[in-house]
Parts: sequence; C-alpha cells; structure tokens
Amino acid sequence: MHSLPAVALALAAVVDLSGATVDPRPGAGAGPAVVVFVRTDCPVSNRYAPELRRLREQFSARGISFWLVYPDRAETPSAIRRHQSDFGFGYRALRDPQHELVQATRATVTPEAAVFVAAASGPQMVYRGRIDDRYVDFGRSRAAPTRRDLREVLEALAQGVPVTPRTTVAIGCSIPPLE
Amino acid sequence: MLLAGAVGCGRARSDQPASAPPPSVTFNQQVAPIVLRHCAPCHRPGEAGPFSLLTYRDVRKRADQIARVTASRYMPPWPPEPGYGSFVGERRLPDDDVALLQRWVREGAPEGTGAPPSPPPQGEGWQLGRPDLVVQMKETYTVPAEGTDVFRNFVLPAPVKGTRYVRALELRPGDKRVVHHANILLDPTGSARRRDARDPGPGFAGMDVEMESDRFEPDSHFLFWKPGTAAVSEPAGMAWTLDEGTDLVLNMHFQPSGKPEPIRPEVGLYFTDEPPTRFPMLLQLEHDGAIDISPGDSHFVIGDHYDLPVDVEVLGVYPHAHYLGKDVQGFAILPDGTKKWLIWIRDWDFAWQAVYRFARPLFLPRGSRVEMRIAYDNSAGNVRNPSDPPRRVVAGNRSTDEMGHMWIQVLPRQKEDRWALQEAYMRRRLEKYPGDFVAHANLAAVLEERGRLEEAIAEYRQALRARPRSAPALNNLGAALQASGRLEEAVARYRDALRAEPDYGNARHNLGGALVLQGAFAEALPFLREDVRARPDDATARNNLGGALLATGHLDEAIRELRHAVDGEPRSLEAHYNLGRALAARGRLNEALEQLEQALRIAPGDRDAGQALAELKAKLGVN
Repeated sequence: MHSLPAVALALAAVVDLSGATVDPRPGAGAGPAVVVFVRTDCPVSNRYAPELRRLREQFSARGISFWLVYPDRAETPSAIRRHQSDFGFGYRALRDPQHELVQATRATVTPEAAVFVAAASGPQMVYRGRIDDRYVDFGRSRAAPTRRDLREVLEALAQGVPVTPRTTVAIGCSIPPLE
Repeated sequence: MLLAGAVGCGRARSDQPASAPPPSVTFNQQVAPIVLRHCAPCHRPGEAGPFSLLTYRDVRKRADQIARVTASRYMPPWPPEPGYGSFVGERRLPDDDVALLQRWVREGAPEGTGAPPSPPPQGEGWQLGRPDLVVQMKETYTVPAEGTDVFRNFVLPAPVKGTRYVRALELRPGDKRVVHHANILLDPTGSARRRDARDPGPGFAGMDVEMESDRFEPDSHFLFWKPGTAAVSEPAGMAWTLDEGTDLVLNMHFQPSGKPEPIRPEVGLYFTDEPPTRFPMLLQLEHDGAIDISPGDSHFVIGDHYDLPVDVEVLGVYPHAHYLGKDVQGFAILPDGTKKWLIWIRDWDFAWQAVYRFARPLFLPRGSRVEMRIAYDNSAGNVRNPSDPPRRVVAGNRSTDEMGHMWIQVLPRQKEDRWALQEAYMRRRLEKYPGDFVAHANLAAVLEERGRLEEAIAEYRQALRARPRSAPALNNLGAALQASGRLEEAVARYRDALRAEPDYGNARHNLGGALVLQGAFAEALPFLREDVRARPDDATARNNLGGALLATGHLDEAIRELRHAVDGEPRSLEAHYNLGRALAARGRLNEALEQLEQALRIAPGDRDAGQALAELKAKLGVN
C-alpha cells in the first residue's frame, strides 16, 4: 500500500451529522469497515440503496461496520437525514467537507466503496471501487450484475480469508473538487 | 528570411505571458447560454434531471462530468444521427458547443464577469393552461425500489359524452425522475380494461400493448411523452376524435430509483369544436415474425417495406426495438430512385426511444417505397442484453423479447386516401404473414368502407378461417352481409358472434336491429332491452327498442324509449316517426301530430311519415 500513503493520515474534519469528528477506519483489533461515497441527488448511488442495505444486513452481524460518506460540503445534515430515511440505507452517515476521506481513498465518483482492515501499521485499504459491474458507462448498464466485487471482498473478510488489495473503476457521478 | 520571420514570430509570442490562454471561455459569457438551452429544460427542480443545472455553482460542481458526458454524447440525449432527418426539438449539442465546454473545463471553469443570462421561467402546473378535462388514475401504482425497468399499462376511462375533438393532450406522469417514457393509446373496445381486470394490482404488465378494434378507424396521432419535451398542440385542422366510451391506455416505462415510488399519472385534454379537416394516419413498418436471433449473434437484421399508393407528407417517425436493438434505419426510395432518409440511429438505446416529428413535412410521391432496417446484437458483448448468458430471442412484449417497429405518421391529400393506404398496408401484411387474421379482418373492414362488399365478405371469411370464433369478425361479416341485402345470413352470423362471446355488445345491437327488420319483434325484444341497458345514451338502441315495443303493443314503454331516442338524436326521422305512431296508438293525437310533422320536416318526402300524418289528420279532422 505504499502507493496510498495518504491512508495513514489522521482525519481531522470527517464528521457525523451532529458535527462530531469520526474516523470510520478500524483501529487495532477492530473489524473491517466499509465506506461508500454517495450524494443525495446521484441517481446511480440512489439506485444502489437496496443492495447497500442488503450488504449491511448480511455482513454487519459478522463484525463489519458500514458508513456512508457525503463528500459534497453543500449537502446539509438535514438533507442527509432526509435522504437516509427516504432510501433506508441504515448506515451511519458521515460528511467529508474537506475531502480527507476522498483523498485517503482516491475515490472519484458516487457510488464508490472502500474497504479498510486493521493492520499493525494502522488501517489498511484492501479495496476501492465499484459495488458491482452493473453500470458499464453512463447510459450503459446491465439488467443484472455479472460481478459483485464489494460483496466478494466482504465474503472473504467475513470468512477470515486474506484479501489482496485491489481497485476497480467505479461508474457514477463525479465527486466535485473542493472549491 | 523565412527562418528569421519564424524566430521573430516566436519572440513576439513569448513577450506575452506564455501560459495565458486566448480570451477565456467563461460561464457567464459562453457556457450559461448553452447549458440553459440544452440542459436546464430537464435539469431543473421538478423535471427529470437528477440535479439542477441553472447557476454557476450548479454547473461548476459538475463541470468534469458535464465535459465527459457531452463529449461522449450521452448528454443531452439525442440518438438520431445528424444529417439523416431534421426534427422538431432537436437536442443534439452542436460540435462547437461540445468543444467550448471541453475548453471551459480545461481552463478551470471560470465564472467570468458580467451577469449570466437568467434561466427561462418555469411554468407551473399544466404547460398548455387549464385543460378542459383532467383524467387521473384511480389508484396509485408503486414502482418497486429496485430491479430491472418496469413496463406497465394503465387504463383511464375518458368520461366524455358523444364525440369530442382533441386538439392537445398533456400528460403529467408523476415523478419525472422515475418515468422514462409513456405512450398513450386509445381503446374503444374495452379490451385493455379486460386485461387490466385479469392482472393483479393497478394496470397490467407489458412493454408493448396493441388495441383491438373492429372498425376502420386507423390510429392517426402519436400521443407520446418523454422527459424534457414541451407538450404539443396538434396542427390546425388535425384534432383527433375521442368517442364516448373510449379508454386512454398509458403504456409506461419506469426506472426504479432505489426507493419505492408512488405514481399516479394524470392526463389533461384540450378540446376544440372544430372537427378535423386533415386526417393523418400511422403506418407501421415491422417484421416481428422474422425475429429469431441465435444466442451470440451480434448482427441480426430484419427489414420491412411499404409502397405508397398515394402521395403523402411524412410528419413523424417512431422507431421501436428493445434492448438488443443496435442500428435502426428508416428511409424512402422515391420512384426516380432517390433515397431520402427518415431517421438513422446508430447506437440504439431503448431508454431514449422517442417520437420524432419532422421539422418540415417530408413529401413522398405515390409509388415511393418506405423502408426500415433494424440490426440486433444478441451477443454477450452487448451489455444491455437482458439475458446472461444470451439466449435465443423471438418477438414478444417482455423485456427479454425483441421487437422491430417503425411507425410513421403520414398525411395524405384527402381523407379517403387513408383507405387506399390501409388497403395497401394490409395487403403488404398478408405478403409477410399469409392467412393472418388481423390483416384479413382489417382489409375486409376497409373494403367494406370503400363499398366493395363482396370482396369484404370474402376477406371476413378468410379472417374467420384463421379465427373461427372471433366475435368481432363474425359480427362484421354479419354487418357486411346485411348491407348486401342478405339479412337471413346476417342474423345467423350475429347469433354465431353471440355464441362465441355472449357479452359482445355490438353483435347484440346488430342482432336486435336485424330481427326488427325481419319483423321478429318479440324475439328481438330481449336483445334490444339488453342493448339499451348496456348503452343507455345510444339513440339508435333506444329507437330500435321503442319500435319493437310499439310493434308488440307495449305502448307506454315504447313512448318512454322513443322520447329518449328523439332527445338523443333530434334529427332522427325514424325516432320521430315511431314516436308519432306510438303516441297516436295511445290516443295522444296532438302530441303525435307534432312528432310526425317533425319527421316530415327532417325528411319532407318520406312516404311512411306522410301517410301516417295524413291518417292522423283525417282522424283529427284537420288538414
């Protein structure tokens, strides 16, 4: 993971909806954590709400924690609460107004997932990319995915199988740069 | 000299800041007009776009994505190939504008100085103003949160009395982020209503829906909705006819959004008192029967053609295929061999199907051949392939089936030309599908309309060979036989139709009427009573029943029915004549006199009415 030194950086400005600072990445001894970047108005990430909910229901009992990260500082806590209740993700929601997690993961679009595990040197990112391969490009999608990348990673982690870090290209709404 | 010149030139340039771009592209100056014109119609609150693109902040935030999707031509969505047909409301971004957006983003998406143009005002409520009639779905349908796209048909009865002329229709589909497109069809026969009753929940499933019809009233207008298009009024003189008892059928395509979405569309109708004077017609090129695509076949082609028997203007075109569609072409070959393009879509995307109306009507002389060619990709390489792995695909109306249609709206010089168009259309269909019921039945109907009764009777018989128990075909055969004076045979066919479908109202109506003509009044009565129960506002039904009641001596009931008949159809000679006779028989001579005089005002030379009036006057002692 030398290519991603930013991972080790401390997060100072990632906050939950009450404004409290939160680092979703697992500390020593904690289970894996999944963060998924979303927006309230991104139709692609919204369409994944049912699949994201299923992943949480299936894997949170197996020691994996789930977080949604809203990287657009213009999305207010109240808009995010409404989004949570409309789509019923059931994830804990974080805001990343300084793009600390965006930079730490190098996520570029919503929805894009990153999976962290605890390691001796600190949290290690073992996956970043698409949830599955349903979207191939804007306006090009399959009726059903043929590869469920995020689920595969979580299955392996839940079974204690070591995961080789990898990335995939996610399709979705560009995460706007900081102004 | 040359070299020196070049160096000098280089020096001159380097005197300026090397990195300074030429006068910059800014949002306020160049970008906003493009975005407001091409993006904002959908990307604004309440419209189909998932986010707004109205202000600098909105656009700046999405700048990278805008550059990307405009360069790939995913946005604005406009599938037709430029130069192969010119259409109303073209949304294609000119190449220069695409390049400008790229440059703006590359240069850091600056806002610039001055004020940007303001967004066009957004209409509230109905685009065309308050409709004369609003028809809303009775129940709410909930689009599921996820899964493949949903195709559903909803039946909305149109509560109109008599016949109305519709100059415009506006659909408010519900949340436009969920509704991808909608077709509105007219169903005069109740067939969609019956399908709806068989399918649980609001509406019934199906990507495509075809209406049954048992008379010659060709589809004439595209009634289509897609996000971001302005509601259209029909051109002058081209209102369409909406008859009492007709259902509007909304054939809708939904895209799940991630949460359950309740949908309750409403349709606004705008009427005019001006009956239509120009009569367009929809012709369908298709060859569904040829669709049989092997798994893995990445280039399977079907085609169809139609030779125009009369001059027409082409007003619009609506190509239709499902997820395997790849390349869609429509064109015409003129009698002199010239090729004229109607449309070419090189990368067919079901999600963006649309009706395309020509910017200027395209004239095609008689003898032109209209053609379509559609290529399909049933390989695994087609990511939209709904089957994984690919499987054999034939025509059908599920999303895993295919279709290959191209509707074209043509305007012939005169109304009667539609018969020739319809006749040629059905004869072409018989070339593709020998023995086809629909083609024989429709051909029969148009021949009957053109007064070619014997040919029509022969075609109905052919249709019945394909479907011996088709109540509409049996009934229509009966009507054609009756029109050619073969009353006894007609009665037998009406009875056959009612045996095939005991609730078939048209056959009941016709059988009752035919029995009256045969003088079998008592036998006719139960059919006529049922007919009036089923269509209480039909003056002909009332008159038939009244006449039979009169003939069988039920005078009071006869008078009641015939009053309804004259109220419903004040210009009916028969109704006034019958009512006059019934009143006379009841001894209400002055009222009878009034009715018979009215009958003679309608038809001054009518012998029966004249004789009845003379007898009555003799009885009254007047002259």
